Amino acid sequence: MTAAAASANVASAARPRRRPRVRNVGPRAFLVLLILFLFAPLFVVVLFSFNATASLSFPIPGFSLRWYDKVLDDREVVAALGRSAIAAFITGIAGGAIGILAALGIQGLPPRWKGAVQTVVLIPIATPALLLGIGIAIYFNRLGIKPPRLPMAIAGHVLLALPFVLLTMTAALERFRFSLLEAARDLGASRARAFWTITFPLVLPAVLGAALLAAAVSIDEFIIAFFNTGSDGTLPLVIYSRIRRVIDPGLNALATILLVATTLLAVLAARTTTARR
Amino acid sequence: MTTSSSATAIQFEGVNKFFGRFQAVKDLNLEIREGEFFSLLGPSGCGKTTSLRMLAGFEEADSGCILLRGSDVTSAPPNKRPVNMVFQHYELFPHMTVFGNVAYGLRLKKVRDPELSRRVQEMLRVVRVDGLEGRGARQLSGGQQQRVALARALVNRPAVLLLDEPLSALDVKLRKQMQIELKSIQHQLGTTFVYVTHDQEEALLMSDRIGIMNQGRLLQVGTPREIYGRPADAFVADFVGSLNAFDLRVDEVSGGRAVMRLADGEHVAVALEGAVAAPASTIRVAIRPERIRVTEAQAAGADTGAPGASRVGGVVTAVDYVGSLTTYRIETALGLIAAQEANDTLAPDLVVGDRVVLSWAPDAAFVLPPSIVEG
Ligand SMILES: Nc1ncnc2c1ncn2[C@@H]1O[C@H](COP(=O)(O)OP(=O)(O)OP(=O)(O)O)[C@@H](O)[C@H]1O
Ligand SMILES: [Mg+2]
Repeated sequence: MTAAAASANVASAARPRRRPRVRNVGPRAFLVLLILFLFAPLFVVVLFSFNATASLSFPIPGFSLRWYDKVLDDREVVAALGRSAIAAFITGIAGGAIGILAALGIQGLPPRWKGAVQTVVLIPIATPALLLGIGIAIYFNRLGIKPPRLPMAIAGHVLLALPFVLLTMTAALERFRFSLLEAARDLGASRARAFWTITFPLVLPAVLGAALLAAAVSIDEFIIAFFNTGSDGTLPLVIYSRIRRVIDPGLNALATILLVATTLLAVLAARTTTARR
Repeated sequence: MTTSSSATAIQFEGVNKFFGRFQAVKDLNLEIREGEFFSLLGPSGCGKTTSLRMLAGFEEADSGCILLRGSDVTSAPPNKRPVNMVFQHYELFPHMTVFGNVAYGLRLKKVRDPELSRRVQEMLRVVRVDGLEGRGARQLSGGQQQRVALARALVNRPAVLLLDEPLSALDVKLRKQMQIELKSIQHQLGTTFVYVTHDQEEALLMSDRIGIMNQGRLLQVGTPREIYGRPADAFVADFVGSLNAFDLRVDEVSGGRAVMRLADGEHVAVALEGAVAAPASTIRVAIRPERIRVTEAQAAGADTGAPGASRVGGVVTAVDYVGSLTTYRIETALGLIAAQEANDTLAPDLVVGDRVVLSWAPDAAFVLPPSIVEG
């Protein structure tokens, strides 16, 4: 979630801003401490995931992949991993599709409506995930939908990802020359044809970026999944339930897998959205 | 023109267009002939682009109708009209090659390969960018983009080609070259061109006929000679070329001319050509600077007295030398008059303060009707 948010910023800010150089030693040291503070826990997790023994003490006695072996042999974990992958995939596809349609719709609005709608669709960012999670659970319950409830969690993920997707897509459409569509229509293309031959290929990188971003949001989402799934939980839920039982070094390996997947998706998303132009 | 037929390509019949409460095009009635190079000329915001976009199908007329080769296209969508457009900013598809851009329309019409390639190549040769077909649309100079945009439109063999200030993004030299080339391409293909510009020189140079617009209204339609020589009103006269306008007090009407007598036997005459002028009234008269002869006062000699010729004395107040031409500003009894002389061997060598005599032929000046549109 944090990585995804960060990359949404990268995507919308597009051009790097010149930053004033940090001259004083004080602020610089503070910066180093801050980065250490932020990344040290991650570093520890990654380091211990390669630990040769089960002891959680420094220095680690040696490196091995035994914890990866172990968790990937665990059927419960593999099943959760699979469900997370499915959730991320569907969130990505749905996010990308809804994103481009919604962004095109917003683009076509009269200016005074545009701003209002653009603000409203960003509300989920500020909404506590707790509310979303419980809200979705109650909503589906009222509709009489019973478990398996993974689809409910996925619906929540799409909702959660939508603001990031829309930010990315709106930025991309700002740069899109709609007059190209007039040229296409003039040359004989129907509306649909003009969309598929001109709009779609030109905004495709942004759509892919938005989809990857949505997938990244889904893959490490906890709260919505917590309220909406049970035995069919996603990977973060399995990690959570294991932590409550025993300190399992295998969790470090799982967490590292999750971390790598999220980071990879976020980086890819940033890359694809800013690749062209 | 390759066709001598006077078949009608386009008809605007009482077309009005509003944007909200603002009326951009007012009661437009216009007929454009098959094979003609027709220009819509007028100042910024006068409704040229709007008129063209109604032809292309991007705007719909609020009332009136538009006929294309006799069939009503007033509400037809742009992809269902046999017209193509060259846009001001070209609008080449950036994710396609030059070939892809030019082939776009043909592919939509299901033209298949041997013929597709042949027609694309042929058109690229006509606009002289053959060899660039594999180039990305982003990797072209402004002039090349212009040519590709032209090929992309013309390859569809439209009944009418619409061009909206297609040369305005080019530098002056390239623009002059493209003006001549566009005209020769139009000759070669015989396609009807409707060309929008706010550059009067460009319109005069390229067009078979010109329509002058101002504030949403079509003021005059005519050949470049008619528009320049006999503008329908003061606005047209002033917009197309530079102009001297002055009030003429009618002292005498004879032989279809109004004459004003000045001191020292000097006089100014204007052919009325149907205009009415009562003796002792005042009419507005105009003359182009290049129709005025400037002679040094001593060298001028006596009045030849040719009927209808005019003769006015004055003092040179400014000399603007621009290479091939010199423009003199001369203070006369009629006010400040600009006169232009070609800098050939006979050109008078005048400086500020010289006394001169201005003279012009009987048909040089014309009566200026009041403006059709205010402002
Ligand atoms: N979509 C629109 N909405 C509102 N007003 C418009 C719109 N399009 C044009 N107008 C107005 O209609 C008038 C005519 O515009 P048009 O683009 O036809 O002018 P033009 O003659 O092509 O001028 P230019 O030489 O500057 O291109 C202008 O006053 C313009 O502001
Ligand atoms: Mg225009």
